Amino acid sequence: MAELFGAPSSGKTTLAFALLAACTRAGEIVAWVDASHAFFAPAAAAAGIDLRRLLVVRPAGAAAMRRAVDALVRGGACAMVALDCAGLNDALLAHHCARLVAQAEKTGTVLLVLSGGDVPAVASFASVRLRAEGLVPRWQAGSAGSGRLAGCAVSVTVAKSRTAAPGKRVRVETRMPDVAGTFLVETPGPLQSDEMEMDAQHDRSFVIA
Amino acid sequence: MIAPSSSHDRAARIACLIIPRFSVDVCLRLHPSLRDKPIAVAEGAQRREIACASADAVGVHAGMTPKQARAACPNLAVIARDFAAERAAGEELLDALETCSPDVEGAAPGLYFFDANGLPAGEAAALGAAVALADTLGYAGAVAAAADGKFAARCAALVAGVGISVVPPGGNAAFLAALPVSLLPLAPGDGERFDLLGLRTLGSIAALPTAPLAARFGERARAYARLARGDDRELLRPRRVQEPYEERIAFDGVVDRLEALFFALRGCIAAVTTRLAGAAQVCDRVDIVLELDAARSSAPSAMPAPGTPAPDGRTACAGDAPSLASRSLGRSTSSSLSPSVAPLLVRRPVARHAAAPDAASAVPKAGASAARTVVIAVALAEPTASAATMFDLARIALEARIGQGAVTSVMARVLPCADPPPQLTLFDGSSGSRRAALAATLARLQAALYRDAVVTMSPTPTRSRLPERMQRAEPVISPREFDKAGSDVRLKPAVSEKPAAWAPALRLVDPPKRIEPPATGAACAGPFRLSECWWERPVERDYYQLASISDGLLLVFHDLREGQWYVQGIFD
Repeated sequence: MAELFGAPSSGKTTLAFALLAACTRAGEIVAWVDASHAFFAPAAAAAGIDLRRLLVVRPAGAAAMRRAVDALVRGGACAMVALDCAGLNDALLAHHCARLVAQAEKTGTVLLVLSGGDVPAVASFASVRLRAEGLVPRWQAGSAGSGRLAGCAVSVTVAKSRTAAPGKRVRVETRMPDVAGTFLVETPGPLQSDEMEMDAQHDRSFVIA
Repeated sequence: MIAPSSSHDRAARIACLIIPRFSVDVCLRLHPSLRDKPIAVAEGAQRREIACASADAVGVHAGMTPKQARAACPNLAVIARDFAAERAAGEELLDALETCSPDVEGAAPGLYFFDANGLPAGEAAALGAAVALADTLGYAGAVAAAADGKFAARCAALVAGVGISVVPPGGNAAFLAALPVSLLPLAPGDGERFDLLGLRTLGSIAALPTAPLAARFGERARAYARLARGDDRELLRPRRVQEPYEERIAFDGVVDRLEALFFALRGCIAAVTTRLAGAAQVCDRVDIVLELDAARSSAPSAMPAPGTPAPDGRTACAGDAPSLASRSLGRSTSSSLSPSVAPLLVRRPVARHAAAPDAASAVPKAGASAARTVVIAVALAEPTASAATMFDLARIALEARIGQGAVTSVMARVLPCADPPPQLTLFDGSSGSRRAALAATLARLQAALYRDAVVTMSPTPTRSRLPERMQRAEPVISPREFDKAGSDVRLKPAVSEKPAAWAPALRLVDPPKRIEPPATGAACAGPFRLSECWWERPVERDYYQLASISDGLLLVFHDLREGQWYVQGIFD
């Protein structure tokens, strides 16, 4: 179990999408438990997720969400199950987490919990906790504050790790798929070096995690 | 030279009944007041395409838009196509055709086949009876024909135009030779290519050697040539009315403990699966029918109907242990009853105790409040006859849905599905286990959640550019849905591509949340104007990416028609 936490608009969903995209590129099936019904398919496609390999589960309420996660983790068909429980602080208690962790270890499933950082049971049972801090807007050069949004910067800090010391920090640059931010076009091409300072470390964030 | 028919000595005589304006006739049966008016049936998204029109709708033909059709025929009434009514009407017609032949097939709306072999009164009499039956049911202009095989019979009915037609046994090739090529089930473009080559009749295609034809048109040309020669290998697929297997246990008293209910349910499921397996059949759904004691049930909403979200509460554990008050034996003999009442009407339990309730009396009557029946449908994802699988999923479904209800009887009902039982797959390696794991996961999700809670999402930018309409959800019930989507779970891609760049994710706020107008000078990008749907629900919005100190980076829009500001999403 890994926890990705942060305030709203901190970049945690971006990081989760990147992880899911890596899994689907490897041919794995993944799942997104969308308790808040906030999943936006064009954004996921722009992040590189193969949506044909993504199961989206939309439970109604906390109990249904627990049942859904239990079924997904117990089944073992999904390489990664992302549980978006932002806003459902009491959805997972200690005994729920104990059971989920045991099942996840048995089936080899990664359970990624997205939260606001205020779920004590998840914080206790997670092997890795990553704190996403601040989605910093990158305005296009020459139009600061009034023109075009080119992308964002996300900072990720390892808050807890069972295999390494916490405190490592990675900064990831992201780029808007289109100027309107409504994901009308396909995933953009590679960034130009003079257009934005692309942080070459972003692939290493998985290694640290 | 026309090749002789190769199938006449094993001739399968098949009759075909065609109702040319079936959709229109079904609509007229639903709306008798429109009989004197020209009508057209429209289908497709928002009724944008005419599918069929009545004979008096002059100038109207399939493929027109309703506007074009009304321009051609000013008094035209355009009605939406009702597929459910057409299915019901088709079943009614097939029921009637069973008086002509025991084996009937509904191939498409308005197109029916039946076995014409060995009919006591002869083919012509059966065809005449079929046309008369269709006329009695309100389908005017029905035409019937018989031939060796489906294709020839259908061609004969189409060519005859009215009444009945009989192609003599062994006469397929001679009959088809003069008919146009367009009667073949051609792939797109093949008709034009045949026309350019001067091949305009079935006889001209039948006369050609098959190998060069296949070399030019592909393997499908072999099928064209076979059909043109009258060698139709497609068999009649008779309608089979599947009968459900049911097993019911009624309790002496009432049961409000899950463990006790599971004990009884396990026995029911074991019995029905034994009978399924004995008949070499499988099923893809099991229905759990619970009869509740309304007097002891705490609230009407305690046990929701299938397909509704599950409540959070669990049953309080107190009550009687179950005893086998009655157990019904044998397979149901009723096949045409509706699923909700069939098991209760047809079962007469074998009385082992005098107190056993009569099954027929348990049907809720109007005004009676003694019993309430709840049917919980458990989808199995993959066809199976495994009792353990069915019981595990039924237990999950009951645990997710059970409320404070006192159960007086429980019944398991399965309907054998058309899919054949799973066969052993050689050389499958370990890939089969992954698919099985996915099937098990989907089945567990289906059992635990309400319908359509498990979906695959896909962006639909061509449908709309508004974020709330830019995606579509497709329910996933079986791994076969993944196969259809082109994602074979057994195969891994050979090369994994690396993404070009990360894109910030957007969390959708649906419906958009109203906010106060942003302060002047707030850091934002935009506006980006979206205007669409002027023909139905006009939308004019100015979108902005707004950096808010308190809420983060937002996607907001200014509704130009209402003058209000809304949050559409949060970049996260």
